[in-house]
Amino acid sequence: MTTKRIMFKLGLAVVLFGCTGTTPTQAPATATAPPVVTTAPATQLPPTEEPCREVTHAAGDSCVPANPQRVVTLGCQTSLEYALALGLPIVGHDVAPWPPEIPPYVDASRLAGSKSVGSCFEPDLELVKPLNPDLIIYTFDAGNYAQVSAIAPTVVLPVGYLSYRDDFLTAAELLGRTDEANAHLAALDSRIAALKAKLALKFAGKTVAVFGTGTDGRATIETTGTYVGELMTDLGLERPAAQVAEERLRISLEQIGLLDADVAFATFGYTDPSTAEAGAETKAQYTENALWQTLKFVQDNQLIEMDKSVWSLHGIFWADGVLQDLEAKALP
Amino acid sequence: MTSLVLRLPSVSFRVDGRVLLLLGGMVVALLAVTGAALLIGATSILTPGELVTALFSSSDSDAGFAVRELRLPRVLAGVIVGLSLGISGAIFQTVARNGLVSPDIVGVNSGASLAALVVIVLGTQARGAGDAQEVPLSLIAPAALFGAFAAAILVYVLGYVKGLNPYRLVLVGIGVTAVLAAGIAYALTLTRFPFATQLAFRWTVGSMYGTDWTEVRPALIACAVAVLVALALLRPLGILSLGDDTAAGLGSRVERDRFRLIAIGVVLAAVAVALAGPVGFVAFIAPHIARGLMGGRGPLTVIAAGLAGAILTAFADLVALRAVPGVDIPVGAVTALMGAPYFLFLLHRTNRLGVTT
Amino acid sequence: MLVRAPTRWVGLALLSVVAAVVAITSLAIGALDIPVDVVLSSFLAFDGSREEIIVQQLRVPRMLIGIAAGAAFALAGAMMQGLTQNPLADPGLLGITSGASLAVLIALDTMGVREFTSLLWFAMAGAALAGTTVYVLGSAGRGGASPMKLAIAGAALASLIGALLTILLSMQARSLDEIRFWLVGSLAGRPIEVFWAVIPFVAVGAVVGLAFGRSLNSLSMGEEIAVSLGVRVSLVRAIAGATVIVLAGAGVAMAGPIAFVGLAVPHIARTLVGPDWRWILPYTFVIGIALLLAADVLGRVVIRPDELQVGVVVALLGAPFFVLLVRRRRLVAL
Repeated sequence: MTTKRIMFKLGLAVVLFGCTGTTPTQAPATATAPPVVTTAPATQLPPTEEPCREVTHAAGDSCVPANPQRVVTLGCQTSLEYALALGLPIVGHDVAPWPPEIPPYVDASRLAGSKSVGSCFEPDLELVKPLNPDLIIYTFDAGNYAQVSAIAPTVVLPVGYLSYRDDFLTAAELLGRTDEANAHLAALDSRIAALKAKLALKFAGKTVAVFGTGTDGRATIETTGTYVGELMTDLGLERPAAQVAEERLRISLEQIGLLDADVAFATFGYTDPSTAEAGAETKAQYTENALWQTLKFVQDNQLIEMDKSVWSLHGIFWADGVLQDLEAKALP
Repeated sequence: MTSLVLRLPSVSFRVDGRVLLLLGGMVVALLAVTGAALLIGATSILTPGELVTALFSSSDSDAGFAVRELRLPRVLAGVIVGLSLGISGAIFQTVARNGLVSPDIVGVNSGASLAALVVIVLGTQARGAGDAQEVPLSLIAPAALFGAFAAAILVYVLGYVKGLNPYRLVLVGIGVTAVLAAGIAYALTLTRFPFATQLAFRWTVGSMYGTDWTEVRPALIACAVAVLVALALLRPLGILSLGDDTAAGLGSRVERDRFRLIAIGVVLAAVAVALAGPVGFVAFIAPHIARGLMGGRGPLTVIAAGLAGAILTAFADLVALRAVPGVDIPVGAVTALMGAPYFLFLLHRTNRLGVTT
Repeated sequence: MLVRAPTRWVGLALLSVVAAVVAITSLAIGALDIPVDVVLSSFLAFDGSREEIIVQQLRVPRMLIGIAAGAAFALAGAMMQGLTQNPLADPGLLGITSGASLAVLIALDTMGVREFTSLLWFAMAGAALAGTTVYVLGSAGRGGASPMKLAIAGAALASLIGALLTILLSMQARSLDEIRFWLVGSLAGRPIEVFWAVIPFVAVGAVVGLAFGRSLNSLSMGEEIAVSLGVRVSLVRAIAGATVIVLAGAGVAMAGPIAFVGLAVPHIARTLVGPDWRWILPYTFVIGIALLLAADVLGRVVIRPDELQVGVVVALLGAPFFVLLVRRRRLVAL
């Protein structure tokens, strides 16, 4: 039944274009492999319909229109940033459940024609449907893929949260926008190169620790295997040996030695900026500890505090957000 | 008052008019709540007429989508969860001869939560872009079902010492639940990004966000089968409620019947948790409501408990979804918030009467 | 079972030694490998190295807080079991820990309270409110506060508070990501000031609690006999109740909601010394300390360099033991 319904909802687009051999419902476990992109024969198209490509994504198969006109992004800012960066026309997006709803580094004017469909933890699909989207980009399937994909072809991005480049390029490939992605990355790379040159003057030969602190008395090290870590590497910053790892590292106060470096970029407090006071508390747990004084960057007064509401996000404009914050804080 | 005698293969009992009236009233109440749940939402559907159109036309209208794909499966899920929990609770309270007991004492809820959380934590580990997730999130519901059964079996086995003493079962259940709860609290600290935390949190409280037909359809079938089996076991349940000795004197094979009843109670509760997560208090409170209304412990009380559970859950989910715009409160929080005060009231009343149920 | 008084004294002394050994071990074991001689020199000749600071500023406070919390939770549980004649009584089970947690969370999250001493008062107020509610509801009507009624009221209140907590969390999704760590009891990362702020309460609670053995013994013979023995039942209940609230509130403020110590430890003590509350209470005190510290040490070892929160370990350790106990013991109906 669901299969039929979804097929119906996908529009005659799929059925008429010869994609009938596939079943666009929940894929088996193994279907999250690298995207398989096949172009559907476009020869028999009625002139009014858009051609579409059958793709396999993190939650199943969908037929992605080549030139979507009405895109809705779900799953917080990641899919929104990707859609904007790839030049897709957005008519709806979900927002962060805490302020700011849209990251400060995203140009709000580009969302003028787009409607909010609710908190990105629980978007209201009754608000999505009337927008009449022809493509939905979803970052994380919160268990309602069947419903979302009944509204329009849906691509669930296989975001891995390890590499901002890979995640972006994979998304672009799924959406058929690799050229746009490469162009965006090329422009970003020139901005990175510019900042890299400036940073080199100040941080050459120095190791840089990058970490955040949380509520439970632990610190999270943004190792080289995270979005932030990758960007730091792109910027030519050298990391202490303990912070070269494939995954984010969570440490307790006892292991504070792992934070040691010549310079530190740190974010304190919570992801929600409105709890600044509580953030100060978690900061104090570190900074007012005698152990803190044993760290080289503290002794040398080389601690640079960064904006957590930017650094802790995941996206592609996010990289520019971090670059701007870094330039403002580290190179005053 | 008219009365009629129901004769089923396994059970026959008199049903008087008042009871029929009550059951009928409950069905009407259930229809009213579910009807309201179908009518209320962002997509405006103003009249029952529009609702019927939306339900039965196959048009791709906004209203049709909202009602058929979003609201109806969720409303049905509420009914299934409530019905299963209500009947399960009634069975457990009767078997244990204790109004305090609910299926959760055998760890069904915590077992389901923990299993679901394990899948969520494993399924949201960091990975390279596009790499397959070794543990897909689609396993959450099956895992929850498995967790519910595993916990129940563990509690039953550990609680069985030369027969089943319900009091020991409660104690063992507390022990096992404590371990599971610790695991849940720990797993909750392991999620790696806010989506995963949110999803995990929903599985610790019970929520019906995003419930769709792919989940509701199998649950509906399982629930229907389990309810039929439960109804077939009403007679042994009635006999067991008289106490082990009396039941044995009446020729009941006490341990066997108790096992079967607990098993079907667990199955019902497991269907509910696999669909919505651990929705608290419904199994606890529904049998009390049913007994209060029916004024006794007849077999039909079990059915009334199911209906009461369905009404309670469907209403709670309506509140959960629509009370705070933009926030989908987990239904389990609402059922507890509604159930607990009623329970305290009930307690106060029974205390005043000097009776402890 | 240890029956004769001298054996009991020896047992108590042995258990105290065990607790002391566990406490010292807890100084030497942690996420970071610190040689024993460095641990020692941090006491004898502190030189300000990072490792010595870790021992002095992290592990010593953690040990002290573990001692205080272990004693507080265990004694609170024992007092409640004696008071309510209910073998299932536990600060967690009767909703007192939940009340304290909810109060702390509200203070932290919506009122912006940051001072630990203020949080401590919130925790006690929450525990008191929850405890009083349970007691009032449980003692309504004829027969006063019967164990059964208290247990029912406690279970209902704990669920209600859990629901409030859930709603609070789901209304502010932002907090969930941070607050989830508060839902697990832990001894890590608390500064020594926490210990100094709490210890007066724990000390008073412990002294009063330990002095209650005789009264609890009388109560256990039934209210009427207790009255005929000259015990002022309401007074005993009021003081013991207040002690439970102080102990449980202090425990939650220190370490978060640690369940199961209060439930399991008195049972362990009872298997050792039998039904005499004059012995159960001191045994509970010592075993509670040893158990909580041992659990904390274990939590630091099992998934190094990460740590398992003590609340998790306690349940993992205590619950199977408790289940065994339940399987072995002859059961008295509720």
